[in-house]
Amino acid sequence: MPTIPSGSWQQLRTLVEVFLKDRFDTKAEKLAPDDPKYQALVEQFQFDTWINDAARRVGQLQVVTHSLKPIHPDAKGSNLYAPPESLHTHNLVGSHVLPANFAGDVVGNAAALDVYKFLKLQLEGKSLLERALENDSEFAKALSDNPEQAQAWISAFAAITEPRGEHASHTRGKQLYWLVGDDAADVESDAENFHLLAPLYATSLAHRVFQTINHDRFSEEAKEARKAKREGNYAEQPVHSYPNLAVQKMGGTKPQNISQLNSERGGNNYLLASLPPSWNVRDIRPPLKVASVFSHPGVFGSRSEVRALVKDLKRFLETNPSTDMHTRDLRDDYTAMLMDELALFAMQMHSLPAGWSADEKCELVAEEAFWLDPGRAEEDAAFREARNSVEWADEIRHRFANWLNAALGEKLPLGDVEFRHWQKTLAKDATHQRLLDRDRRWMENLMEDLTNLPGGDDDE
Amino acid sequence: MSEVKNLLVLPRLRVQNANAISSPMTWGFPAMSAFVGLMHALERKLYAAGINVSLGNVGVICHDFEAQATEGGYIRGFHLTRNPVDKTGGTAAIVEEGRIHLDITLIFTIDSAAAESEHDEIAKQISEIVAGMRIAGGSVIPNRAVPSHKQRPQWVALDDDEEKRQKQFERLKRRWLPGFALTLRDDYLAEHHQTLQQQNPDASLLDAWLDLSRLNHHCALENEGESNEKPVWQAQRPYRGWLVPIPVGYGAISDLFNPGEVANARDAKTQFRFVESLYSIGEWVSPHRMKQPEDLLWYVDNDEEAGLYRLNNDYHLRATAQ
Amino acid sequence: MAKNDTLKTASVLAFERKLDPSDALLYASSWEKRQDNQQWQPVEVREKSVRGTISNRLKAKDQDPAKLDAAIENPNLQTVDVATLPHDADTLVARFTLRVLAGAGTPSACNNAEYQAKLEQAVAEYKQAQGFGELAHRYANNLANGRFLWRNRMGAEQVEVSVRQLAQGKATKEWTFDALSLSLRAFEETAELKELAGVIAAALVGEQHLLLEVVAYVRVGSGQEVFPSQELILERGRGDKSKTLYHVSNIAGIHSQKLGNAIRTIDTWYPNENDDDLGPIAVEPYGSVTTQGKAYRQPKQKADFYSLLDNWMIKDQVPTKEDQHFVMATLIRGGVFGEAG
Repeated sequence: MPTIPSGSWQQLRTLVEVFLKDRFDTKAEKLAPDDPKYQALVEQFQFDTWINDAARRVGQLQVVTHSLKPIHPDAKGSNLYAPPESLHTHNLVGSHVLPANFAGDVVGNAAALDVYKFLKLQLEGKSLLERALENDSEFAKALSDNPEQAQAWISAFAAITEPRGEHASHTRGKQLYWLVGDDAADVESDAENFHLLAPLYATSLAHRVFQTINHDRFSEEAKEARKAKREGNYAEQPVHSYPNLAVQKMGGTKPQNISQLNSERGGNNYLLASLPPSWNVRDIRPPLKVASVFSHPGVFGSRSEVRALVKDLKRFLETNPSTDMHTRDLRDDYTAMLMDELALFAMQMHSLPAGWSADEKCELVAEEAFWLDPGRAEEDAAFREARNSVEWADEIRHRFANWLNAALGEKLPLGDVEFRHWQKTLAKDATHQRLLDRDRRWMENLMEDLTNLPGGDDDE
Repeated sequence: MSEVKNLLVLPRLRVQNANAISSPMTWGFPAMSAFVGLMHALERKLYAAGINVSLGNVGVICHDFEAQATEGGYIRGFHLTRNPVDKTGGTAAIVEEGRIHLDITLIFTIDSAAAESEHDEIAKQISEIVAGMRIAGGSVIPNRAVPSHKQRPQWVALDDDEEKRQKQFERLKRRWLPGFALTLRDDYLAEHHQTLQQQNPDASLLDAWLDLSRLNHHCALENEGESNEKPVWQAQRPYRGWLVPIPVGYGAISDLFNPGEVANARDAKTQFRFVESLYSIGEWVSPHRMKQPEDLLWYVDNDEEAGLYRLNNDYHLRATAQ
Repeated sequence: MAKNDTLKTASVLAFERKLDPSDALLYASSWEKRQDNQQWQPVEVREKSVRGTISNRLKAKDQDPAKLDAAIENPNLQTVDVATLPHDADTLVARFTLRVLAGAGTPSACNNAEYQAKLEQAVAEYKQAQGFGELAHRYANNLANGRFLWRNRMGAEQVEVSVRQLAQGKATKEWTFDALSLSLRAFEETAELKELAGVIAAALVGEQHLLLEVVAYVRVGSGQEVFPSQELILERGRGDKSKTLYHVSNIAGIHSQKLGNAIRTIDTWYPNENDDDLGPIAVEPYGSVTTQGKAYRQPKQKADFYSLLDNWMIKDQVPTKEDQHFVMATLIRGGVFGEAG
């Protein structure tokens, strides 16, 4: 018996026949053979009949990589099939970076989706659709021994990636003017100075992102790694987390109205966060029951950004960098970022209701309370007096330097030189100085206001 | 190399309900293209109002923000404000919009033949006009968190003398604190792509982008093989700085169509193209770490041949030159 | 007038909203000291647990008897947001700004130059014949009568609304209204209202840029519940709050969209078959009223915005004066109105 060559038309024919048989069986399951409906089904699933009808119905579908409805569900217009190899390559992320086995999406009449299932049938890793697009002669033979007929069907199937009708946008679709000339205000030359860009939703790219994130959130490996991390055990697999990941619903209760892949995603579109650094007001708590925010690791040192910075800096210093300019620059860079964090921290504390340091649970040393709760001076005369009578800012600088020295010093022979360096840096740091200046000016204004008040200060 | 001559600064604008969904794959801050679009629209309004200035580049410093999204939990959803109604009074299809309230400073490079004595007046007029415009879809409302003298628009003519110019910039930067300006890190994206490819030659730019957009916690064994062996989990960050995924413009996914060729276009005079959003990595940088105004300024940088409609920013040129 | 056979509707047509309110932020005060804004305290949103009863109809799939028992035995403990005045404050203060933008009737996008020219002509004729006086008069009423307070207005003992015209951050004019003396069903004419309407109309025409600050003082009684906007969240996780109230920087607020809806509640010109006095409804293309799930301007009666505008532009059928008001008010409301295939 001659062996059937792999990828041959015989194998393809069998593949399609099995597919049709399965579908027929499912539909005919509850029908008696003498039921006229059963007979109709038999007719419908005749190989030629079904293929012919599929070649007609395929016109109700379009395979796309870029769809319009996610922009607005009521928008009607062009969807496009722009596979990665058709796009320009460049150094930004876009659909051109997708691998050859990217997921195509389908838009159109959901009732014709069985035709798409048919085209997605695979033999040796290649789908019937790909074969149709390549005008594969074996696939043609599998469909019909009449070459003309086979060719007509293949052309019909291959047309599934073609846009339907003329190219169109829509009033609900997004269209924006993008400057391509030099002068946005030269209204006489608008037509040359702008292009109208109509962004479509890169559904194949989004699908890849969706699958990656879902794998990182819900796969067995991911779950096990997370469990290991939670319990402090070892795991080979890293844990990937996406901070502030958001989900946008597309298509409401009918995600299939948007597209096939949208339906597979349950109408969920993941959005990665570009949020600026910030603090959530509700997360800001006064440093109670501690004598200093600069203890170890301490309220300041425990902040995740600070922790990460200190770790990086420590690792950097441990490499025994030579004391050339480059090292100094890099160290200054780290320093600047630590200063950012210190300024941010102080500003957050200042946003707490003034007088928080008067709480009996607050055990902060006076200087730190002066630094972090300046508003208290407004109401609390003794506090104000004390705050004005000491050079607390010096003390804060000293404490910060000590803290950093200790944070870095566990394994590092940091001596007086380094200590002075850090202390000096803080004294020079613009933000820190600005805060202190602001503070000083504010205090001066406040003192002025208070002395001008009728009755004045009750302590004086 | 600094060529910027004049800056127009609109400090501490409070923008309500700006668009928080910056692209089909990112959220949290409006796309820089929205600010570039604002700049172009503003230029046209100024022209119409007989104020002849040209604006070139734009920078944004975010001082504060409040995203209208759910808090807590692993994933955030958006707070919507209304159920749209259709013609029968029933609920219409909802397009989920994300909103964010912002407190921002806008910085434009500005050029004009106007005499120096007119600068203040022009700055004031521009600020009035901007107050009536949409910024990234949001409305400008009075900012009550900041005293009014800190909200005054400024026209800053930068000095030719490098030292004086630096002083001017120092002064500006102080006013921009606390805040963070968005800068572009194409360099990190490319470099990280190479790093990943060393381990896996198939790693794509998309993999690099996602890897920089998330936290990767790895486990290492401390004192491996010894009795006090202990697993230690650590989040690894390939780069310092507050890195975020951002859209930076659009890439062509179709040919350029002639005017009028595409049905239902916004006009029949302009060439038309279907595009998709393109992404890179941004870094939020505190202004006091900037060395010159260009560090935070963005500009249009197209490559029409390659169908690339993108924005650019040069912070990385100096940040990596250290 | 000759029938216009060639003009087609613009397939892309959009208008920006011209009445642009901020969110209203809510504060607590005492009626006596209401003018002293240093004394205002923010109204905070806090969470509270309520034991819900099973009153909502169970879904078919939940009608498993075992599940039902479990559900009844464990009345769902829910967390909801509430906002109340403190016990030493009897007055709710709601403050927002309203920007009135010039260029009413000018589209922000239109892809048909002829259509746009026709539209501009129609708007110019309307301005000439009617002006924006009638619309402005109604908008002014909805500021003065405190309609924007929604539920907070109900049951209030006293409501005072003060409207200030701001320029360069300073108040240049101020009007004060006793909101409860003004009807929500009719639009009244007082000297003050006329003056306020005048500045709004001038801004709509584009004569002067207008920013109004509106402050409403609502005497509801100490410790009473007040009503910020509720957030709409499509997908709530299990155990999430069942009611989330809107707040900005921890101050309870009313959404700008809600204020906008109240301010444009001026449509009394919709068809009313039974001649019931339903009062004004918000200007919407189909006259839809969300709370009633009903649309009062049906396309089959040709009373909706699209029919009226098309007839006006394409068929030169100039609508009645009342319907012209409605069409203009819809353009001021803004939206995407194009009609693409």
